[in-house]
Amino acid sequence: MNAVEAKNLSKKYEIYAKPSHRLLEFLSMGAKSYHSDFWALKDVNFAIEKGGAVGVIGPNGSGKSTLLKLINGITSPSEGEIKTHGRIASLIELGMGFHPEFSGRSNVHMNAALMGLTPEEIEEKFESILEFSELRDFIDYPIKTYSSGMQVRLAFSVAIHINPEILLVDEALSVGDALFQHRCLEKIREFHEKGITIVFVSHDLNTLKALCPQTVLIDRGKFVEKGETGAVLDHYMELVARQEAKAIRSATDKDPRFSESQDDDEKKGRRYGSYEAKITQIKIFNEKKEEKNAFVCGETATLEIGLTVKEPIKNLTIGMLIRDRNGVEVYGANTFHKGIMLEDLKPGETVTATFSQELPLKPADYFITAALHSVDTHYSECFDWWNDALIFSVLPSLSKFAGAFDLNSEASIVRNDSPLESRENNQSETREKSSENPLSV
Amino acid sequence: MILVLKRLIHNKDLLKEFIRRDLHSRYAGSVMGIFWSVIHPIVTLLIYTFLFSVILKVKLGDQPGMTNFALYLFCGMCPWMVFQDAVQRSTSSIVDNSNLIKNMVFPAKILPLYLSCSSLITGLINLGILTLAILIILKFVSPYVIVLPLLLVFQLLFALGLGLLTSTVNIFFRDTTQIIGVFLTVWMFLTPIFYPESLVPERFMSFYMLNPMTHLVHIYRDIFLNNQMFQMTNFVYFAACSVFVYFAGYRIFTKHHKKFVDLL
Repeated sequence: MNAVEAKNLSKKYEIYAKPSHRLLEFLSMGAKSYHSDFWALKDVNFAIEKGGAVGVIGPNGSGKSTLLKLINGITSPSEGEIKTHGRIASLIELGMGFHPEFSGRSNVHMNAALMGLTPEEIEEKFESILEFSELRDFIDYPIKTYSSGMQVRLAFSVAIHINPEILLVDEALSVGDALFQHRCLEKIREFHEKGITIVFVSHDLNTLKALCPQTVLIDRGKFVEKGETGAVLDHYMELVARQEAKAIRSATDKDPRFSESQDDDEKKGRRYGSYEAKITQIKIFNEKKEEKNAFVCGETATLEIGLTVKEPIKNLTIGMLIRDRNGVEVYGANTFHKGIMLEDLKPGETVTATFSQELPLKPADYFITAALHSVDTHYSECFDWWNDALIFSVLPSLSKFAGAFDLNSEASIVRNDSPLESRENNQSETREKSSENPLSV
Repeated sequence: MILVLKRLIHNKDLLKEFIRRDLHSRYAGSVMGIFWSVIHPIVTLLIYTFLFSVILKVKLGDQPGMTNFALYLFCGMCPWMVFQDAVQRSTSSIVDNSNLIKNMVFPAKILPLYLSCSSLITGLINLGILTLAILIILKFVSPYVIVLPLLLVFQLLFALGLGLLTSTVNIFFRDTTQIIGVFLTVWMFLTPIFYPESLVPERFMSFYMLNPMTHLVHIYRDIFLNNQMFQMTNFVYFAACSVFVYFAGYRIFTKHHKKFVDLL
């Protein structure tokens, strides 16, 4: 039995450049069209079975909120259909469904009534709603005097008290403070255990992973996949990285893989040297030997630099340097420092060097510089120096840390109980190893 | 018809809440609160009396209902103000409450409905003042006031029908609010409220008789001032117009209401 079922679900918005265009189109009686169509969702097919907890993820503007509104029934599909079974409670966007002038109490009554509760039921549950929201002192003030966190608390309290069979949660929860978020997630988990269907939209990968065994990925209005959350999140992160790289590229025109020629880079001063040896290719792979430009923090990446020798060279060093967006050097390595000697190279010879390393870096974009020079620095002889030859992104993993690197601390504590209370336990010790990064396997 | 109304009142608790809030919010924060809704018409009536009976000394005729122009005017204003208030506020109601419609499954038609009801309630207070003033000045209370509930039903249908229509149009074309404001002003002056029908030139009379509000004002004057039963033609015409306008408005509203959320 499916709680939610989408068949060729599509939603079209008509976009008018000016309000007057709508009138003009109306007056032309369909003879002329003044709008452009925007498909917020196109041919989406999926089903969520009763009792399932499904995450929905996708880049900004991918249609997540539209999907939720369609499931909720706030808006109706332009094509296809959406079927739902059971009472739906939803937490969509902030300020949702509250009348700013009404008191908290009136809004609770209004909300609950609209979700299908009778006045008697509302009266019966009111105390419990008040309890959960912790807004007893403010309940008779108008909603407009509430902070955004208070509004969400109230909305969530109502939503969980109307005995929903399907619970839709958008990112609204992120407004609440940490404690409240925690309590909400506990509640959602409890609901899931009770067999209530959960649809959860979030960008918080950790929460999604903790809460939803399955996740739906949508991108620019299209259904990409539905599957096991871990795998879907990997795909999602790849998608984001790809789009981000594209954005950086168009913003700074810095990804040479897409520049017309190497000369182009030279002209822009990104590449210089005597070219007695020349870099012919530079690539970065993951452990499965797949060429990638996005890695989860902690993942192992292998950089491959290929070169051709043009003139006889006595002594060659191949190096790479990782810099962050601000140009700060994050890490550099070269064959000389690693004790690999490349001597007496003849013209026509080709060499490939690989640098394999883990990337326990702060999630961000990084730029790779590749260099061919002699001995340990490029100051004496520089054959080829190629700035920002490659861009890659590091994506957040499940292990959280602060700062530029994940030094992967092992944490432990010694805890002494008060000797007055129990003597036996006063030396009890808790050791907890920091969680291994589950994505970096 | 009753069935359709019933469907409208499906969310009756919500409706009650909206009306209560609306009546309350009109005077929210003021010390005298709801009493302002009583004070306001009394002052209006007093100033009319001063203006028309003391300064201008307007006298329309010798019939009991005509001797006091202030009462004559106020009596015509009562049904009109209810109507104007309801339609004007309904027009922007859906756009104004877009956050409700965009974020939850909200029965949008409750908005024009509660505004029409709330206007009727304010109107009833005015009618109470009118009856009291007539009792004091003319020394009688018309027994025909008992037909008022019947009238109110059709007044509600008329205002609501128009409100449903204008609020729908306003979503597509936001200038509607302004247009309706101008339109209602013109309409008011083309309804014999400030002057008796007898002063309207013969060649305009057929146009005047098309206006349902002319008939409604006539009915009010018959009942309250002339102390007599309304004329059946007036009533039938107004009732028929009300039912027609209501169904037209309702149909247009329901035909488009699924699109509202996408247009707000």
